[in-house]
Amino acid sequence: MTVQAIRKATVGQNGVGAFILQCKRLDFHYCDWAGSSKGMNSFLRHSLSKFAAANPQIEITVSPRPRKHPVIVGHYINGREKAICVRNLQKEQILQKAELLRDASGEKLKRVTKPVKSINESVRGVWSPYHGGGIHV
Amino acid sequence: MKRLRLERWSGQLLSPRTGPSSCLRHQQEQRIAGRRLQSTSAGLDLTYEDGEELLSEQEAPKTPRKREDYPSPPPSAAHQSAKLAALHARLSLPKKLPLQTMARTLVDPSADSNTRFNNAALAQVGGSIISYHVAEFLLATYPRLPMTVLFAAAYAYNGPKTLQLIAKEWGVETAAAPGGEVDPGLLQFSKIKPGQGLSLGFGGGSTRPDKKSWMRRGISSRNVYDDEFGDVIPKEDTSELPQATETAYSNFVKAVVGSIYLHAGRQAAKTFVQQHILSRHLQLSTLFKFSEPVRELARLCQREGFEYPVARILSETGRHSRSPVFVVGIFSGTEKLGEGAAPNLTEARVRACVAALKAWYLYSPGKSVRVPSDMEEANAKPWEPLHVDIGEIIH
Amino acid sequence: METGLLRRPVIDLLSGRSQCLFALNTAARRHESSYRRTKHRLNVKPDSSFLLSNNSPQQDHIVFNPPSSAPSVQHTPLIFLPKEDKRRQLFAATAARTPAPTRLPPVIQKFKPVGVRHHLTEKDIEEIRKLRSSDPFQWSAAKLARKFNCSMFFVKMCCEAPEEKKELERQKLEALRARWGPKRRRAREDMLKRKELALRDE
Repeated sequence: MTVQAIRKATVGQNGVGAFILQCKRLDFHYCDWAGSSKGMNSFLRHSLSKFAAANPQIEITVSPRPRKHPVIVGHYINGREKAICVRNLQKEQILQKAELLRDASGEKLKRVTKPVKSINESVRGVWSPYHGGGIHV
Repeated sequence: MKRLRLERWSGQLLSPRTGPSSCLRHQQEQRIAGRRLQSTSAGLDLTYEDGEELLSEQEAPKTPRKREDYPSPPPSAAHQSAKLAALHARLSLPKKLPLQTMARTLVDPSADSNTRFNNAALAQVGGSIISYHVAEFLLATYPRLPMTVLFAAAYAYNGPKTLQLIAKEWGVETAAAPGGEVDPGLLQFSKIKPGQGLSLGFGGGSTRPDKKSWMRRGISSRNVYDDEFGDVIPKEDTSELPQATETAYSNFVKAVVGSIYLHAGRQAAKTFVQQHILSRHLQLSTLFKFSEPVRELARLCQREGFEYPVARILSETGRHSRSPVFVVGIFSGTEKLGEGAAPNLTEARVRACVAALKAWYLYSPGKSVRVPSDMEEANAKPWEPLHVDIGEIIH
Repeated sequence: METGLLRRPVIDLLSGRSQCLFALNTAARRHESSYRRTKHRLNVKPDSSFLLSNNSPQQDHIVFNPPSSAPSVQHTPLIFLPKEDKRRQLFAATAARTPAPTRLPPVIQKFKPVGVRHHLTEKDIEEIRKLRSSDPFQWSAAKLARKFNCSMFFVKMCCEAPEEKKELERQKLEALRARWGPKRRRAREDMLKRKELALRDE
């Protein structure tokens, strides 16, 4: 019998070909009564339309959440969500938080110790003790 | 390649009638069940070729039908959906591609069987374009791949599982059940109930002629009778039955490519395929599975006129101990073809032969080799012939 | 200790005549308590092609140091390249400069190809078949190979053993396998898995 094949699937590399923004939806929750939502209300009235126009890839929903602090919830393509409570913030600070959610991927925050993470093999190969002349210690 | 002038056909796809309605059932559908039009301006001047008056209009219900009564959302709902607009922008689709067509790509035939409102036609076109570009990329970049590995590589790039992954990475979600009130930005298809079997369509047989037991399903016959992955094509059309999620997602991705080809042209569709499908990573050396590689390598050297391959021991350590390591190289004359390391000599020779055969099959003129469709661009440089291989080793 | 190193002139350090280039690397240093002990071991001399000496060429040149790693299957050997590939000329240019290897590694005797010998006639093959079918238990493939001075592979190509012999051998093997304990069974299964992994080269 000749060569047989094993079926696999390709692995996506976001950004190598096309770039897909990982944040697909942002929910803005505000409250008309709570004082902590003043900044959020101002943001929704003045800054949101510009933010939405600048980021057409994100589906934006605005809904009241009565008697609660204002919150922005981001939904990501990997299925996870990130919520940021924006109580008592000014509209510029809320814009910063919205941009933070937009720029995040849905992954959990983890500490990065190595400078490079790659799926490609090294150019010169992994060192093997059985090849090369050897080093005299 | 003969160009398909799909630009001329797009007008037909968006008009209310393409010609004399030959199917009587279709006529009845249109008159009795209420008319669904693909564009808002289409309903203004409607004359039937047979010249009949719509007698049943007086009997038809005067109250407008509710959205839930239709199997899929109307095209006018496409502009009201935030999900759809976000998807359009996330994929950076050209502005020439309208949202109504995007909405149509998300409707599977199992949700709506009317071919003017589902993605069957678009998926057909898009699927051909995707598999063409993947095939020419693989054949140009790896000219010596054996047929089975070529099928597996094509499956890895544009098989249903991969297209499902791609669609999920685009952030496309499914609607729980199809209907007219569903958000047009959700993928609509009829889902299989738990415990219900997959209807693959082999009840009516396959398109292959091998009905006798002695008819072998070999690789050459796969090229002729089977689909682009070497899988049997069923005779029955099960596209309107409940579908697996994988099939629905893959139809959607193909339909997107088809709609780009329709509205933005051949080059835009090619660029889209290259950026979303061919940019994905695949390690081809992991797709191979050999049996009797020693014999195969000997046959290869005989066919190509190289010297008979000889196994030589490059280095070893730990012989007669618990953990020996032998590094064996296969040499044809003075040229080393492949190398393998293992705890025993037999396995090391097998690994070395496998490495040598992979080095033969994975020969590549480079990743930036020109493909035949590059000649369709304006001011394309004269064509330099690609390397065409004699074929895989038969033993 | 560090000041002692730095007091030496910089040129002296960079010329490589001193052997502590590696020890200057911060990552190579460990705790102070064991530094003295590891410093000696870590003083690895760089490859001679990186060090300036009297024999090194005076003008700009390329230093070729192949990596100490197993070769990858993505690199095609020279003879596997098709005739029209442009890389053949590059290879040929390099090959012209490097001398041909005088001695190749030793051949593995177990796998040395014997070669085909056409010393058996039709009559001999008939004889093999007759003996095998007459008494398969006495005339085993090994015995026939020794008698006719050919390989067992050739004997098996000529004729098969009758069904009852095959059945008996199968039963013997089954009896052997039934006597295996869990450890031996697992070890044998691992051997099969390793064989399959070797065929995929993973």
